[in-house]
Amino acid sequence: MNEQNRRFLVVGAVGLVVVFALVWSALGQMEGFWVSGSALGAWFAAFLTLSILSFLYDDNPFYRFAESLFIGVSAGYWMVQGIWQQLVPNMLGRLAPDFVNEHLAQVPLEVEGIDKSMALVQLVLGCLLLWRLAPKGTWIARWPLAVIVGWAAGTNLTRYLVSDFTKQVSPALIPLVEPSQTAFLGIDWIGTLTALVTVFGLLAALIYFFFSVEHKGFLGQVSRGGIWILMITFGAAFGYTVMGRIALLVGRMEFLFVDWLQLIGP
Amino acid sequence: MRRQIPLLITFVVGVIMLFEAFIPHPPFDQLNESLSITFDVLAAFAFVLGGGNLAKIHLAKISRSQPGWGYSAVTMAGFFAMLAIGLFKVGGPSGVKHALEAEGSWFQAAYDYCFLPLSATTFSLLAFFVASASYRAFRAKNREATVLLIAALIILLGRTLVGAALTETLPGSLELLFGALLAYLAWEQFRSKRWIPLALIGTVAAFVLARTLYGYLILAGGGDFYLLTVPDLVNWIMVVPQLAGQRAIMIGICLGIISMSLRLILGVERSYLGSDTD
Repeated sequence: MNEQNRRFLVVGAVGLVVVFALVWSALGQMEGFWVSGSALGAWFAAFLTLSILSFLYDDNPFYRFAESLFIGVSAGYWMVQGIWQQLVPNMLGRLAPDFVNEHLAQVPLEVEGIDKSMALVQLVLGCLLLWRLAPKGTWIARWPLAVIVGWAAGTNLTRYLVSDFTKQVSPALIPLVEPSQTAFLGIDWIGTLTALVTVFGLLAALIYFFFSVEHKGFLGQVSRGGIWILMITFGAAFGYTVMGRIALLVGRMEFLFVDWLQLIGP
Repeated sequence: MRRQIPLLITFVVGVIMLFEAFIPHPPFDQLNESLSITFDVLAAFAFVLGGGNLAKIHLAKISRSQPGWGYSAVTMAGFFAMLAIGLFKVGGPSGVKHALEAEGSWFQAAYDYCFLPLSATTFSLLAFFVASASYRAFRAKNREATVLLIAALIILLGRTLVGAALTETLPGSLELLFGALLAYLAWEQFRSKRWIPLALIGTVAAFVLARTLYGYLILAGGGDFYLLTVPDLVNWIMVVPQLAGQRAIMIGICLGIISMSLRLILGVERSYLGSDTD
């Protein structure tokens, strides 16, 4: 099937769904887009959902339209959130608190004892960052970038040392044999197996990441065990990712068949 | 000056943040708070920069009528529409002092009927692509890939109703599977004439299979003869081997972050400054 026929097929399929929905709403089985603002919104959302899903067959104009719209809308969304959540209260609110309180702030900001100097520095650094869009002298944007990089490097060094190193090593320093009063030979066998896998699994996986020595002989065997432990970790992560995506897909199907077409009762 | 001053700024800010972790007293704690707010504000400016850059690229494409300019026009329409209704808080209570998500606000409607369906459907598409890509990538080509697939399958089973139903209707099924797997491994050892591993694995396999068959044949499925259920197995995998692997990855990432942070603070790593031609 050539590209033109494929396009006709996709356009025809989407058109068929729209015609079905129009007839279905005319019969009073679902809300037509003309009924209310929220109904119009639901129709538009359904159109966008179907447009994105149409990519499962092939690339087509509907998908490209939805994709382009997504890029624009998400850029606008995050820009607006950044302005109202950060720039207005944390910078403008310090530079002109009375103006912000009178015209912009949802929750009144504190006016007394505000240090304006830091807000001025932020404004200057922000403007320097935006200078990146100018045709000349874009190197000046490196100064605010240096603040961001320096802050992230200084903070992450100690933060990750605590959360990803010390707090991960200490739970692995545990007794290898779990005693039990009632179990066979006075040992809790499941607990012991758990402790052994916890300690030696971590060691084996760490040895796999240790590239200063060639993985041969005993070290090679341990490293191979480390790969198995890592494969279980990746398998679990993969399983959860698939489940998360399927949950999203179920959500979209629920929207189409329950909320929009109302073919299935809630 | 173009490179030295940014390096100096990175060094000073990085050292202040490091000092604050060890000396949480004035002036370092105040500097930490100020710099943290500055970081948030600069991140917001970065969003503005990103939006500006997007507009610059797509408006140039539209003005030159380059191929696909129509889609750029759609992008710009979505961008400016979202910007206008968000910045001026169109709809909802009068004025701009209400929340962005206030009842009746157009920004919230744009989120509900445009942004949310687009993002949720785009990410849900990945369910199909992940499935087909993983089929091609991990077709149980070797033992490691098989372990990955089995772990993923057990997690998928155990975190859904199927897993619980499976071991409720067929108690002991996991033990049978486990015993069969061990018996296969014992057979491999026998073929390779490795007698010690054969004795060890064979004993465990015989114990597991005999115990389960005793439960089926003598106890006729009654009593708690089974040791494992799928949800229990999933919990054990998540808390023990999965966590061990995750810890190893986290420790590796941490060591990488520490070395990269030191390189940045000391000015060894300079790639973030870009080229001299900028």
